[in-house]
Amino acid sequence: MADFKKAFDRTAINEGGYTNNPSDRGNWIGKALIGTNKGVSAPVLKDFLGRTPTVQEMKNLSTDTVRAIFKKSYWDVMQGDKWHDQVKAEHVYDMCINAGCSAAIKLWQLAIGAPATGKMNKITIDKTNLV
Amino acid sequence: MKIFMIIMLALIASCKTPAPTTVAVCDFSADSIRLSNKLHNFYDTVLYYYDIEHEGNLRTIDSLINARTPIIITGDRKRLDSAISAMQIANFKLERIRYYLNITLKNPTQDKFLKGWVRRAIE
Repeated sequence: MADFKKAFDRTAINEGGYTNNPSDRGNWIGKALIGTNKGVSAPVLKDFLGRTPTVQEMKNLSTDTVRAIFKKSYWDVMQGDKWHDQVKAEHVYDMCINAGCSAAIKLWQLAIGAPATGKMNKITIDKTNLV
Repeated sequence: MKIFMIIMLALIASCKTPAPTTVAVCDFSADSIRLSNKLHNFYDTVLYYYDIEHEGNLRTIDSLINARTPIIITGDRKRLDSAISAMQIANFKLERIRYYLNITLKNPTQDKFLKGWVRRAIE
């Protein structure tokens, strides 16, 4: 079975520190420029906390918090623990972080010829694990 | 950036020939490299394969591919699984690049991110 820790460590290489580029839509919540840190965008942190985060909270994100967010918001949504192949799982997980799980799962479904619903389901898992 | 986008679109177009639907297959014991290339060229995705004995040879497989007929694969299962997995991942990378291109085509202000997105997709 695919391993979240390995996927997290691999993807962390791609994620930088705090940025607040105004032209990146992922840095905004409404009219508030919150920024992104360690791959966690402003809307994702808002969903995790259940409220709008402050800029300081975004800047102070700990690795443990990032790991918890990524596990809950991405790995569990794509049902990563059910994937047999680590490499496949890491590709889709990386796209989840980059563009959200709905887009990532939909693209994976297109790639393997499963119905492109954008939601992980038994058909997709079965096709993924067929080989 | 526009030249880069045009090159990427051309690459995608060349990789994804229209038409294919179903299943690819082959007798990997015959000529795995050649047949693997054929799968890339003629089929979008390998959906299924069956462990059915098939007395295929290259000529038979050629005619089936030319007719866009679903074919049955036989041969070494490990090599086959490995080839199919590689194709699934390659398909995913192409879908990912297509997704990013669509974002920039709809919103050119996102152009500046395209190079990094594509680099990450193909890693």
